[in-house]
Amino acid sequence: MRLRRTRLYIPGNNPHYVESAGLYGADAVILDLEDSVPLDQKFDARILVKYSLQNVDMGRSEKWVRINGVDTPFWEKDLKEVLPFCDVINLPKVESAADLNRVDDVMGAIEEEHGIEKRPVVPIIETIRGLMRAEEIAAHPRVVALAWGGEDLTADLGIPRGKALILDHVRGHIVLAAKAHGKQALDTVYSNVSDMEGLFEYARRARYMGFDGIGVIHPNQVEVVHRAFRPTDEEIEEARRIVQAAEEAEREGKAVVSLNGRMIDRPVVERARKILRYAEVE
Amino acid sequence: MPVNAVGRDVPSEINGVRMKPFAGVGKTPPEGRRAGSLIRMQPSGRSKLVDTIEEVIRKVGLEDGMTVSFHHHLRNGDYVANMVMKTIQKMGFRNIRIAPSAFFPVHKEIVPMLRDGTVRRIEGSMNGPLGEATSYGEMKETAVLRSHSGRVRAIECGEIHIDVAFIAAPTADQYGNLNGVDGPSACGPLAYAMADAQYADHVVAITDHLVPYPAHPISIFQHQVDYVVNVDKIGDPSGIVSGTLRITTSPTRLKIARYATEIIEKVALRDGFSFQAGAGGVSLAVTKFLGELMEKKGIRASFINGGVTKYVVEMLHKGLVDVVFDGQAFDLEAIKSLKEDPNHIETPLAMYGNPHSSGGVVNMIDVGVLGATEVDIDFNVNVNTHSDGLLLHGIGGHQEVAAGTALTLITVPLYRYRVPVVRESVTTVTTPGEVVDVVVTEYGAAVNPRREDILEALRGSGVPLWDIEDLMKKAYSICGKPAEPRTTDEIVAAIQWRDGTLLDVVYRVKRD
Repeated sequence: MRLRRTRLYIPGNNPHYVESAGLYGADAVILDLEDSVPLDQKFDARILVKYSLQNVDMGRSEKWVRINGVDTPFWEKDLKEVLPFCDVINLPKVESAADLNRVDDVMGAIEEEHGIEKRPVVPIIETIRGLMRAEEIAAHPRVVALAWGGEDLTADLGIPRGKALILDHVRGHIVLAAKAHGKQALDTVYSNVSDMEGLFEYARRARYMGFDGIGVIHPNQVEVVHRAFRPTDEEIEEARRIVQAAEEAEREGKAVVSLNGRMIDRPVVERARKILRYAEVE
Repeated sequence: MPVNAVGRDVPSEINGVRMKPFAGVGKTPPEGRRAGSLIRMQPSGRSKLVDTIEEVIRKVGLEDGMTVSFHHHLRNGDYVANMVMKTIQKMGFRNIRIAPSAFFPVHKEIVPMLRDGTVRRIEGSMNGPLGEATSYGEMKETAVLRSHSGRVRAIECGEIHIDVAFIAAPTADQYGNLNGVDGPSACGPLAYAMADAQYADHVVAITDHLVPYPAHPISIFQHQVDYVVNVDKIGDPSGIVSGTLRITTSPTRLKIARYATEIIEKVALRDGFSFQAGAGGVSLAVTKFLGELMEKKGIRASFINGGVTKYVVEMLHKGLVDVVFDGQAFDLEAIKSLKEDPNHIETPLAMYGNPHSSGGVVNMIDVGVLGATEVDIDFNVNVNTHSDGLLLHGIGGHQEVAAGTALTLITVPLYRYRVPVVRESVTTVTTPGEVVDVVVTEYGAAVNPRREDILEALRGSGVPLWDIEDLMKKAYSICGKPAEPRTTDEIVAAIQWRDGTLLDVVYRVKRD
């Protein structure tokens, strides 16, 4: 599965930011047509993003576009212009599998017209209704990862964002819904761009909560988050020993893997392999 | 006009003085003996204190056509050059040549003196308005730009003879002992003014902090100083030093700094290594990142040459470096450290990098990190003009560091405001490509093909490696090919290589 530790949001209406977006080594770059673009610039941004996707070198970053939600008059036009040139569609304010089906139909038609492969979708769950249907959303075949956003949720609940204790539950719910269907879970952004220590702690916490990545809103955040998602030296050392033991057991035709006299279960071996994959990236 | 070793057409004479074309680094050995200043005497009991600048100008016998000098330790907070030049103007002197170590935007008050005939030419660095006025043809004669130590060379060999040196002194006693570490206008070292004090016919100290004899520590000694004038203020502290020099937050610059740090790590980082520090955005970040890396790896440097900031001082105090050589202080921490720490040493500019001496500090530096306004595919660097042809910056220590250090990195963004920085040919050659090793941009680095050893050391590193022409093409693909500056064929400034040969000239820019 592709690493998605960082997804860097770039306003789709700002050529200066767009042209340097690929330089910072984020796992994904999101050219945004939604919240960072004012209503009167939706058309211009769509065209800028369309041509940027074709002409700007995004380096090793996966190319995402956050289109406008299905509750707006823009999303179909967005898809028509950008879908053939991006890797992933990031869809905001998803509340049900039905929302995804509408988008899936339009995407399918464009993909057929252009003779291109099916593009995956990363839906963003931002409402209580969406959260309650997180599992059916995660189960949709287009979906490769679940993301979430807290502003609408906390507004719905009438709780100040910084004090919303329920967000820990929301995070857990998103992770479990995604993992139940073998999808990635992606945490939301850390908005204080000058607090790198806070960002590191936030990203570390996201990792231990089960998330596969977080959103970033400034290029300087990328390296910090990658560091936070890198397994610790102790974790790597332990994982190496486990994988080594598993390989030895396999060579010797043993059904049971044991290390230092303890039996190692299969999921533990799988987790160890995943840790080594993360460790090898840098 | 002869074509020099970097392919530029240069005249054989500037201001009626013969100049040799640049023949390559180290290809023009010096001749003759050092110059000397007027021999003077100071009988016991005669005071050096003079009440006003006007009076001191009379006492030194200034005449039309003479040369006066200033140093730039007070940077954009300097009051002294304006104060003295306005007095010279008021007294009706004409055709004065000024030989400052550098002028800053604050010295724009001198621009009208180019027009009214008070000043015929400036030989020195001009940052901002004076350079711009020169570009538009407002100087009667041709400006001559030299590197910091190239200026010292010119003074020592008599190429520039200074009649009167006016030295801004943050601290002075009544008998002319001076330092820069105390007083309300403290600036740190007085390194730029040391050659002036030694070689000028008359030396005048101007201070706003007169202390009882003897002032101490002493940077410039009493036997070289003829007069002391006490004024209200010699400068504005907020323009002299920065309260808080912050590391850049620009992701592009930080990316460049990280690549530069990785290159240094792969090529030069070892116990006892040395580097040149600076106060520019990328340079400051590299200093910080290097310090962190050295701490992590347990590496100790032998010395840092600066451009001293609090980041360098922190490294000294943490024991990450044995000695700091200081030619210029950029913040209050640097000044305090220079005053208090015996391992923080004030370096005269002649010692820093005069090429015609028995060897400068720059020859002992392993790594130099420098900026540029433009770089070309022959690795030539421009720090003087912008791509519109306007002369807006001095050479500083660029040539010294590039020529002296074992590894010279030029850290630049690939383009600025949609104007390519990496290009086919620089507008003005400040530093020839033969002494430039690596160009580092946010897209990766281009290594000078002369340095196969560096290329080898960087293979497999995290720094993307480019051919310099491909880097240029990348810049052009984003910004388009840059337009030529709109200039006439009138030469307004000469750019000397540090040995005094002519590297390039700057042409007059047409006004819109």
